[in-house]
Amino acid sequence: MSAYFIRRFLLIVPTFIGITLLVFAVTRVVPGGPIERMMTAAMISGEQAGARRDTQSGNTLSEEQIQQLEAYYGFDKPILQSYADWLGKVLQFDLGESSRYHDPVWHIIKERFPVSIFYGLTTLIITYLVCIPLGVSKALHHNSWFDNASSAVIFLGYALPSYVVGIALVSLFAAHWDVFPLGGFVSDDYDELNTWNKFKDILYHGTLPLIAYMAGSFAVTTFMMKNALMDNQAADYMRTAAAKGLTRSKAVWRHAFRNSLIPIATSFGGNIAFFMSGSFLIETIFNIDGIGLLGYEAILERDYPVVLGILVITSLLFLIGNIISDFLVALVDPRIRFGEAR
Amino acid sequence: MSFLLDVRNLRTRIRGEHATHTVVDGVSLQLRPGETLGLVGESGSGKSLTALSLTGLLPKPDVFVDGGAMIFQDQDLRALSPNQFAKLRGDRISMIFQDPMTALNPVHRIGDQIAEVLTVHGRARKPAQQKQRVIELLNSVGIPQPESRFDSYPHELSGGQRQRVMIAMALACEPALLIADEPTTALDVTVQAQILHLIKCLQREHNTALLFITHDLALVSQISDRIAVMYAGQIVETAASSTLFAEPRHPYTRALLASTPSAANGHKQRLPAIPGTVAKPEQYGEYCRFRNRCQHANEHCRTEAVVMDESDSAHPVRCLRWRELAQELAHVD
Repeated sequence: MSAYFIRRFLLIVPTFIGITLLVFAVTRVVPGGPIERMMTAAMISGEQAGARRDTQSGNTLSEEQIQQLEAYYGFDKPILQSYADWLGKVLQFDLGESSRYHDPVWHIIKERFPVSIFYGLTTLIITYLVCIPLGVSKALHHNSWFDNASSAVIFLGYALPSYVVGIALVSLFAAHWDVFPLGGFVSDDYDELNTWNKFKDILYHGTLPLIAYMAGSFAVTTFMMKNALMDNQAADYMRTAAAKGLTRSKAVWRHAFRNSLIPIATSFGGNIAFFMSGSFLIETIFNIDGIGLLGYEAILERDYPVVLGILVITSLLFLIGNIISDFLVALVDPRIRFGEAR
Repeated sequence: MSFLLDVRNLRTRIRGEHATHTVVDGVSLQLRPGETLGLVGESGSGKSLTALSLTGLLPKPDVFVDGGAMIFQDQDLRALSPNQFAKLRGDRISMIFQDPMTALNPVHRIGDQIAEVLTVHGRARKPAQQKQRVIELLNSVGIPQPESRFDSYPHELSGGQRQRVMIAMALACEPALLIADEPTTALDVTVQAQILHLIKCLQREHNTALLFITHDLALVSQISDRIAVMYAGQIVETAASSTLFAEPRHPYTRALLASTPSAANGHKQRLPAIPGTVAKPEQYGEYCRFRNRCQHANEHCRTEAVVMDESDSAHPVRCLRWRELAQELAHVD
């Protein structure tokens, strides 16, 4: 088993190289890169300053300047070579410098990451804390009014896109009733608050975005849990459990429950990365400076070092999340024996 | 002469979408301590539902007992609350099922699954004691190296070994009654014989009464003291094993015997099959339910209601014409 996981960890390396090389290559081919942006910027400022344009080339920057910039961004070398340079720096935890802010990418991401970790982790924890018990009770009281009513709410949340939920929440609870703030992650005077008030402040700002994040994610996990438990309740070993003298509730708890966790464990790893990488729509609506918004803006602005930096982190989260999933599945299901010859 | 189990006029019904059907219709059977009763019938005859009724394991609420009495150790099982019934199961009444591949929980160790019976019924409370007892049980059902097998998961065992584990589980509390519902059907023929032998030995050792349910007449003759033949929700004939084979009274029993392959008439002859299919519950009526497949049926069978003829209490039969047929047969001989 441990051999399997070591192999899985080693497989991260080629997978990671594959992902980043592909995106790196794409950034080199698509139009609108940092040099073109810089030329546009220089053109605009040049026009404003009333400077003469270089009539020969039609460019605002001279060939020399362009070559300097290309050398600066490594665009003068072939793709593979500059990719190798970039990868070498990444291995030293150097993600380069943002072409937009001229700050180290690692700094920019580090600044935003706590926000995304907070929302991601909270969403992840609350989703599982709510969905598993909810799915269990829905399975045990299948077709009751509670089951049907909760299904209606969950499906409504699933059917509505998260940004619609977000906009509805903001306009109702922030604009119309003023119960929660319009946006932001913390108040301006956050640093002066004591711990308890800091916690309250985060909660005050976080409630609406969290609801928007979770509205869609409840459906899949809850119904996965409910359906798995209902399938397992009809399983032969449940009849055996009853024949042994277990009451229904004990049989469900001791026998059906663990079997029903197998599909939940399978989807856990994917959810980690999914929640951590944030959602730029929700972050835009609630004016939260998270990874989702940063990534979206970086792509629009062709800020490739930031795009690649975010890619490094999210792809690693995905790869590690998948291994965590495998590990959890092996933990709940003894039939899973990865790659062992029996 | 007191019975361990005395079932009178048991009636079990299934609630369908449009109507409720009676699928076990007036079944009566008696078992003495240590005795073996074979319950034989085709699929759909209601034999498994009879067993599930007796153990309170019917899939509620759509299948339910609707009439009759089930007296076990002077106690009417129908009067028990679900929790009281649960206390009895696995302790005084145990059950083995058909498919050992799915009857065990795949995610728990087999030792723990057996120990759970002891825990539920408050036997051998200390973990060390419990493990000792489970190893004894595994040993008694013929599992090699029981100490190391304790920690095995079901998928690591063969079908036959899993059925042995099921038997160990069923006999852990030394029940007074063991109900085995087609326990060997899913197994290889050689394994079948071993499991049958094992059940028989353990039954003798502990003086357990056994209700053995099967569709296989040849198999049931090897193990049963008495045999009850079931057809379309009713028992049509009950007799001591040897009597049933020597002089079957009901045409259905005769047809069953004739369609059983045996070494004696194995001369590449075509086995006679019973024409038609088992009547469906919605077609049940008060007339003989076998009449449409019976080669001896006449006008009476279609117009007169049939009841169990208990004039010979050792060999009751549910057929209007059994006396005539017996005489006819005697003449032929």
